[in-house]
Amino acid sequence: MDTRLALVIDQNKCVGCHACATNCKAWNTAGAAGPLTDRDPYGKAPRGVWFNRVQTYEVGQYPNTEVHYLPKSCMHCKDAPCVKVCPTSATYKRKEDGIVLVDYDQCIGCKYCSWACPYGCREYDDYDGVMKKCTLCIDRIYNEKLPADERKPACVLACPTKARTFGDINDPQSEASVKILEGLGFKLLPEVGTSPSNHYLPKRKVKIRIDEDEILARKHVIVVTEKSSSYAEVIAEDIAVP
Amino acid sequence: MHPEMALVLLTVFAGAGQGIFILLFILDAIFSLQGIIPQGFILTSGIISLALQAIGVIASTTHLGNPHRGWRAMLMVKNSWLSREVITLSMSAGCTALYILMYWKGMDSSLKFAMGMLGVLGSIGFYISSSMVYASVRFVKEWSTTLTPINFTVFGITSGIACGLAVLANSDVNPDIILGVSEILLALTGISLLLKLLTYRYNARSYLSVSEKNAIGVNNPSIKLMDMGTSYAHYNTTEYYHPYTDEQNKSMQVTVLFLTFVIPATIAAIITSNFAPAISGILSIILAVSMLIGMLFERRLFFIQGNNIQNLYYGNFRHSAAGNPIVSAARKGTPVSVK
Ligand code: SF4
Ligand code: SF4
Repeated sequence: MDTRLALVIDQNKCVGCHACATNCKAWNTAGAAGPLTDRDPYGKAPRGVWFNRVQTYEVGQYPNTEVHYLPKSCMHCKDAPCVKVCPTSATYKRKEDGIVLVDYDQCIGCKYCSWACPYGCREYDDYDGVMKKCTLCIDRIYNEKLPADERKPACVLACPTKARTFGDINDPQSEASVKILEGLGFKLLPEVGTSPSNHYLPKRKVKIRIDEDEILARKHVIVVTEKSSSYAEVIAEDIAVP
Repeated sequence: MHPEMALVLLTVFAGAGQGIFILLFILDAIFSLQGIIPQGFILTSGIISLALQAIGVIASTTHLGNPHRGWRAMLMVKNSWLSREVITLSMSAGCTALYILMYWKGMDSSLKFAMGMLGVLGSIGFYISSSMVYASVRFVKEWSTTLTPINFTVFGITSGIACGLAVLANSDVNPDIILGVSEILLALTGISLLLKLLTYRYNARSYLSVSEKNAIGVNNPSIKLMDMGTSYAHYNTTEYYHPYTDEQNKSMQVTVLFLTFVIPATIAAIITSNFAPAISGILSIILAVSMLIGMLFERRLFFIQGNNIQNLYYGNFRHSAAGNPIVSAARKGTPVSVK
């Protein structure tokens, strides 16, 4: 089976720090896919191109709300609609690893591909007049000048909580595949039929029931006092699946 | 979607220009032997047709980030409707120019006829391919319907005939031909009105079964965007966004219906009834201008009403289909907040 490179993002671990996005911007603006133009970067209305953005949502209704982070970059769809609509073939999907790329020298900047992407993952650079998007750091992952353990996308290297995994999801032995399998990985908007390569691991809650008797029996004084303020329950909820 | 003026101008003006060409080619082919179609009509309407198509071509290049390599857009004719749009527009504009040139030079040959046929084919090809550019974006449900190619074709031909009638009614031509063309225009305007009403009904009732839930992967009916991942607007929050309220769009719909269909149909009816032949020249000009302006509003609204599902991520998705009884009933008590 062909290689299918992808990112697997664990929503249990993501803390919404934007480190992946800033490292992406730093590497790519200086790398082969750059520059990622910024207009008015320190002014009132900064506007620029990013390959990866972390979006924040509030889920639920007060008081039962929680914050949900969604780092989002090109999903390198298996059935990529952006590729099919491009009139110049500037947007193409590589057979060897499934990465979807834009050839800036061929792109005429008609923006049609971005209309066809259901995820909002393409960003038009009005300075260069071409469409830009995540390259899965193609200039890192095959770069023999980099140490072997750094041949990963910049976002993966930057993530302080190790929420991001990079690998071949067609190889059942790869770390990425194992994580998808064990962490019940899912795709965004599965119903639109694009078959994205990037996967997300859902946020999961684990509730551990601790009977009052059990606590008293263990004479765990701290928990008993905290329990009255329902602290024990909160701690239990926050324990992620191993 | 954000109403991109360049694309509005391209689709409306090129479409109308091609409609004029279709009319002049047919009139020339049928009546040229009898010599009852004056040379002035063919040349004037031919030049207007060319000018409108040229405005379309120029507008389309201003839409591109790199217009100097715009020719590359013809490369993927096998896959992309956009490529087909560019090719058919070049074909129709080129054939119109050559046809008018041959006519002007008096070359009344089968070559001229073939050129005209190619121009008509290019025009119909452009109606279909330019509309399929939108209709094939399946993530914008207001666009991805059979009504889109039908509307683009019928509206293009109708507005072209309206412009053609304005030239015809102001040239020295057999009044029966003017009456005949205005009868056809009246019928086409009526069909167009019907199609547009059907489209508005479709937009109000249909819906995509997508929600923020699957977009971000959380099973909760209440999902609110807190931070779009940027301190200011960016491409994805502007290209797919329009600031107009539903009420504003509704009143725009009414304006479109009046300017594009009701006023032109009324005038066409007056011309057809031969009630005031003396002023039919000026009336036909008012008709054409009203219809062209109306078409510009219509196409602008077509963009505005396109709701791309990627808006789900940026809190800009408009959960519509209020007119659909199943959806509105199902939505009761299910709060989906998107702002
Ligand atoms: S996420 Fe969008 S840009 Fe990336 S491959 Fe899929 S459709 Fe194309
Ligand atoms: S903007 Fe560039 S990559 Fe996108 S469809 Fe147009 S030519 Fe292709």
